[in-house]
Amino acid sequence: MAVALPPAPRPLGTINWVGLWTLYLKEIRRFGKVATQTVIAPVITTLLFLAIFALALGGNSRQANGIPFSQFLAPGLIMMAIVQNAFVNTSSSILISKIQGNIVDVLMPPLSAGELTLAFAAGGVTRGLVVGLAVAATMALFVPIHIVDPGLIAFHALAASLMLSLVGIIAGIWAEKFDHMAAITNFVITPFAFLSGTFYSVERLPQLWRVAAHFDPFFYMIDGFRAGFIGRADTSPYLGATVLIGADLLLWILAYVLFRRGYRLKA
Amino acid sequence: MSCSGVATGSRPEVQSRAPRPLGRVNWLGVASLYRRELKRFLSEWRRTLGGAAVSALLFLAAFHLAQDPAPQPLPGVSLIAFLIPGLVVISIAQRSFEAAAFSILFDKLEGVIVDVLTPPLSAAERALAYALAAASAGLASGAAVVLVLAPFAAWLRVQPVPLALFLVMTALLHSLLGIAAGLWAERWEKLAATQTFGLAPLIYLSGAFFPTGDMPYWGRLAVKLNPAYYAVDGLRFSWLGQSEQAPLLGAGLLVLLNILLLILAWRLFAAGYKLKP
Repeated sequence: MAVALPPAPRPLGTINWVGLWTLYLKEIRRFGKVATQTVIAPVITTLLFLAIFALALGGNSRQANGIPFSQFLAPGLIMMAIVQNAFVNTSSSILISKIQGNIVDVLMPPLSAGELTLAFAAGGVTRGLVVGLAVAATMALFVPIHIVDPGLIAFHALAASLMLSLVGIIAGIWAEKFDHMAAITNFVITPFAFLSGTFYSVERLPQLWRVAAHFDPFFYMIDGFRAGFIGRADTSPYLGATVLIGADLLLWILAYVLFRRGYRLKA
Repeated sequence: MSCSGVATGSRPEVQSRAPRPLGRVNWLGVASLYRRELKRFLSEWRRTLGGAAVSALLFLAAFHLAQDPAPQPLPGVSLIAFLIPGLVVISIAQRSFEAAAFSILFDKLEGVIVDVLTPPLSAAERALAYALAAASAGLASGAAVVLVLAPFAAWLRVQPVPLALFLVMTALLHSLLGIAAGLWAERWEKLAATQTFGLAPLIYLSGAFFPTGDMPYWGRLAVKLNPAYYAVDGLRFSWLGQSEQAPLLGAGLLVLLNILLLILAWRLFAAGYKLKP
């Protein structure tokens, strides 16, 4: 007698590709649905920054690192938009899910800690890159943007958005209230992004601060990214790449461990 | 009331049960709404005041490090001293706007806005209480910024009376704009849009960071229509003794605009705009 068996569960294989893709799509749709707020708003904000810094410090004769100030500024502002949006995407997604209680929808499906980390991080990277492209395209209308080394630009955009996506995951898991997240943004992310050489060459800093800058991963991402546009950097691109890859690896492991343990996610 | 003749002393409790006579203005009601709004703001003062102070310091540090050679935006005034009044206006404007708008929208979304609509408060009293509370929050934020930037500011030519006038006018102006935005928006995205596409360009392009003479021609024209420009310029006059426009013109315009916006907020509350079915 043939017994009507319930359908067998889909074999997952080593990696649950369908699950991974589904969570990634959810992360993309989350910000795509409110694109005015998540893509166009950062474009406007970045243009405002360009306007105020160029008007206050610009003047056509003004140079930074041997090039017109606005051309020096533009890549740094694009990088700032990339990292801020990568961070916001992962951190807000996880924190809001935790507060609304629907984080179980992510924890219940057969997704491993590694798959969760990858899907969330890829969502943040995508948002960072989409915003970066939108900002760059709009800025090109006002400031001549030359691409000297596309490889350098792509690498730094990717490494930096990955890094801040991972920081966002960790912050989203750690935070319990919106106040916590606002504190991280106000007192950690913004100061790092602001003071890491977006607006000036760190060569201009006093000795002590110049040394301190070399311990700041934000400095390497802005410096290397800008080098792809202006053809010169404050520090060696190999050192920068090593620091960024190292930081990405460490943060990846930390995010993985937090998901694995269910830190502040599972009872 | 008609029972007043009966209650001649034998039943005093009837009198005590009668509603409190409100008088022409329900001052107690205004004060209660004001206090409730202010408590909301105070409950998260660490984030709001700390955030405002840090953000102003970051702007100052970035400009300080990036200026080479040092520009002199006004004769005899360093870039840093020039920037400080602008940073104070920006923090006041952002906080006042946000305090009023967030509070109203939050109550609408949570469905508790009836707590404000059902008490015996007239539309004008509601508008006044919201505006004053949000303005107080904005001024607190401005005070936090002044406190952390005080060591870098020029204090020799400060004129306290115009200073106070321009600070209060700035706070009130943006509170009233915040009330209008909070009433208009039905979702957080809409409110965020008013901030990104309305408030931010208004305050960042107000001449807070640069003399408007450096702007392109059309920018110079546009800035003359920007109320935040007169706030920054007036505050700069009271602080540094120098300004681009006559301070009386700026003060007059701000007072006039505040009156117009107060009337607008009053009419919006009176009409129950997006508040009552």
